[in-house]
Amino acid sequence: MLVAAGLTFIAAMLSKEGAVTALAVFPLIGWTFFQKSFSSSLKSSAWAIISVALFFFCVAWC
Amino acid sequence: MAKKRKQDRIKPISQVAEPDISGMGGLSEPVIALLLALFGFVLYANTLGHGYVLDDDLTISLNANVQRGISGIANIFSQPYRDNCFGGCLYRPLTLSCFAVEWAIAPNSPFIGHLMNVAWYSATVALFYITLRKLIPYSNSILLCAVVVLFMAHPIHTEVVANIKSRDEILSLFFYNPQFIPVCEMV
Repeated sequence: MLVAAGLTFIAAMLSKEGAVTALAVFPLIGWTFFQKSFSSSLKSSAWAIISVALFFFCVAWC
Repeated sequence: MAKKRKQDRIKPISQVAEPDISGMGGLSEPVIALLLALFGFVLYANTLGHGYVLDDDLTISLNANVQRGISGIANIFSQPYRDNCFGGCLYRPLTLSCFAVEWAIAPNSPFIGHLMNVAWYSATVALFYITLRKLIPYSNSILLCAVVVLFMAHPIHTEVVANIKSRDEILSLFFYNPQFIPVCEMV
């Protein structure tokens, strides 16, 4: 499921780069709605960070 | 005695009855999503006969890579969104690839662009409902449908659906929506 989430996130960013703002939204969901610590929420969003890194790699390569 | 009464009131989770989430005449979730998508398609079907407007020409009919059709997709992935970085060096290759495929099927035809816009929007609406259902599993179906219909029929989305170039926003939301399911499962 993580791989699928990462791939669809990359697809969203390749469609319109504005989707990159979700990088901030995902950890905030855990922190705000599930009362998790910010660091654990950030760790849970590692797949999104990797996706954004891959997207920026594509942009730099282009 | 009072403590015993309190313990009696607390039932194990296995004995707690699932809340009633029906209210749509016993329709299954996929059928509801399909009906919502159909409603979205009918709602914007009047745009199918429209032509290219606003940025459509710049992005589609005057874009050399899109006009090459499928053979232009490699260039689309290695070049910015617009020639000479007009309007900023943007990078939206997936959207342009869609336009290239459509150009290969029917060159210079705004009909297929509008058709695909409405189809993608309908699919996005259905996915939006499914995502909401996953995130709020015990909510009433009628309430969820009302939320989705309000989102779908809101006039603020008219420009996005009626303008072929705005496929980027529809596709982005389509792929963005299901992200919330694994996020809420993990945290």
